[in-house]
Amino acid sequence: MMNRQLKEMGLHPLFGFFIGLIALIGGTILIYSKTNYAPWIIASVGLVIVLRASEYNRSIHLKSIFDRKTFREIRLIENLVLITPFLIILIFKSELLVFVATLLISIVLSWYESKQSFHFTIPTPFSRKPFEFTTGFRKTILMLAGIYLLFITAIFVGNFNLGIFCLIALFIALLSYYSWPEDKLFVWIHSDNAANFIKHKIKTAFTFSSVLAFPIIATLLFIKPSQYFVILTFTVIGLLALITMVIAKYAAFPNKMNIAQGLIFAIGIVLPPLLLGVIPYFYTQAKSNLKELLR
Amino acid sequence: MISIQKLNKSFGSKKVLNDINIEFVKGKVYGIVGQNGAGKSTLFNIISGLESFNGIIQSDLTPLKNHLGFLQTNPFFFPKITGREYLQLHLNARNIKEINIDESNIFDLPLNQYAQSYSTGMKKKLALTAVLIQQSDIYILDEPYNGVDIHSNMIITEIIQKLKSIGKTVLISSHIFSTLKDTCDEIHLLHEGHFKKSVDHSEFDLLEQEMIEFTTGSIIDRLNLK
Repeated sequence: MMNRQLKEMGLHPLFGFFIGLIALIGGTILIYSKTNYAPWIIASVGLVIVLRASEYNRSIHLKSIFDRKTFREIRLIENLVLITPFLIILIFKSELLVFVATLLISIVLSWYESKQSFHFTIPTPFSRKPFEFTTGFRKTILMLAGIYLLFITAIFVGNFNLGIFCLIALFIALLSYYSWPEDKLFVWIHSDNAANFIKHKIKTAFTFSSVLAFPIIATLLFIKPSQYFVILTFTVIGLLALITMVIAKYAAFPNKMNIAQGLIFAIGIVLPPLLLGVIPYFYTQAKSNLKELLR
Repeated sequence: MISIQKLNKSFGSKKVLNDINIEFVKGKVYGIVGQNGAGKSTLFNIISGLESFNGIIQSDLTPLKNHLGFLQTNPFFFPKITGREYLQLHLNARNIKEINIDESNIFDLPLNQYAQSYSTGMKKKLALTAVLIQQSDIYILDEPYNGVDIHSNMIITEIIQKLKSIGKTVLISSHIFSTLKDTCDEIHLLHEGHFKKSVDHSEFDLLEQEMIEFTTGSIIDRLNLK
C-alpha cells in the first residue's frame, strides 16, 4: 500500500523510505532540541500511526480473508513493524520507561478495532458550499482548536511571534484541504466552464479561509497595530499559497500533484514573489486539464 | 436526442466497444443489458463525456453533459460529508437554488449523518436523489436497483415511469431483467463490445428467454448438484 502511494507520487519506494528516515531523524533532533517532552511526543506520533492500522474497514477486510489466529498475528506484526523505528529512537536515547510503555501499548492496540457505529456529525459553518472546507474543517477540527488555543495563549502572554506562527499554522492546515483530487464526476457535474469553475473554487477558498483567519488577523491588528505590515504580509502570502494550491490541484487533476509540480509549488511558497509566475503557470495547466470535462 | 455513430473504444489493446450505432430519442426509456465487462458502464461514461472515444456523438442539447444526470454503478462519497451536503453539492454544481432538500428526500435518508456511514443501498438512493434533483433532460442510471430494498425498488420503477411521462430520456442498465421489462421501451443487448440484439416491448420475453438459454445453457449441470 505504502509502496503504491509512493509510486503514485512519482517516487521510487526506496527513495521514499529514505526520505522518511531522514524526516524521522531530523524530526527527532528538532523535537529534542525544543522540549523536555520529546520521548513522549515521539511515542505518541508512533502510536497514532499504529492506531491507523486498526481502522474498521481494514480489520473487516483482513478478517474476511484470514482466520482469527492469523488475523491477530498479522495485526501484531503490523503494529510492531510500524512502531519499530520509534522504539529504536527511544532505546537510542536511553528512554527505557517510555520504550517499554510504547511497546506494550502497541501490542495491546493490535487487539483494538475502531468501531464505525458512532454517528456524530461535527457541525461546520461551511455546509452550504461543500466540499473542500466542509470535509477539511471536520478532519482538522482538533488541529484548528489547538491553533486557536495556542493563539489565545499567545495573546495572554503577549507573544506576537507566536501569534504570527498560529496564523501560518492555520494556513498550512487549510492547504491540506486541497491536497487530494476528487473523483472526476464531481468536476463533471458542474455546469460552469473550466475558467469559471476554477474562479469559483478560488473564490470559495478565499472567502472561507478569510472566515477562519479573520479572528487571528483582527486580534493581532488590534493588539499590535504597529506591526500591521508583518501581519498583512503573512496574510497575503497565506492566501496566495492557498490559491496556488487550489490551482495546482487542478493542474495535476485527476492525479495528485507530482514531484515536479510539488517542487514548483514549494519554491513559490519559499520565495513568495515567484508565486506571481507560478499561479499563471498552474492556471494555464489547470484550464487545459479541465477543458474536456467542463465544456 | 442523442445519436451515436461508429463509436469505438479501446483500453490499450483491449477493444471494449466496437462500432456502436444507436439513437436515444426524447421521452423513451432504454435498457442496456449485458454481462459484466460487456461495456455498459464504459458506454455510459463515454456518453457523459467522462471517457475519450473514437466516433461521433451528436445531440440537440449542447453541451450534452449539462443536460445529463448520471448515476454511477458505485457512486463515490467524500469522507465526512453528510447526505444533505452531498445533495447541496449537486445543487450548487448546477446553480439550482429553488429545491427543498428535505422535501426531495423521498427515500427518508438520514441526511444529517455522514454519507460514508450509509449502507450500500442507502448510498445508491442518495446518489439517485442527487441526480434527480439536478433536473436534467436525460438520465443515465447505471444499475439503479443495486443493493436497494424492495420498497425503494418500487419507488425507483415509479420514478423512471414518471420521468418518461414528462418527456425525459432514460438509459438504464440492470442485471434484474424484470425491472427493465417494467420500465423500458427498448432493450439493447451489449455483447463483447457491440449491440448483438435490440428489441422493443413485444419481444422482451423472447429476449429474456434467449438470454437465459445463452447464459446458463448446461452450465448448472456441471455443478452436479444433488
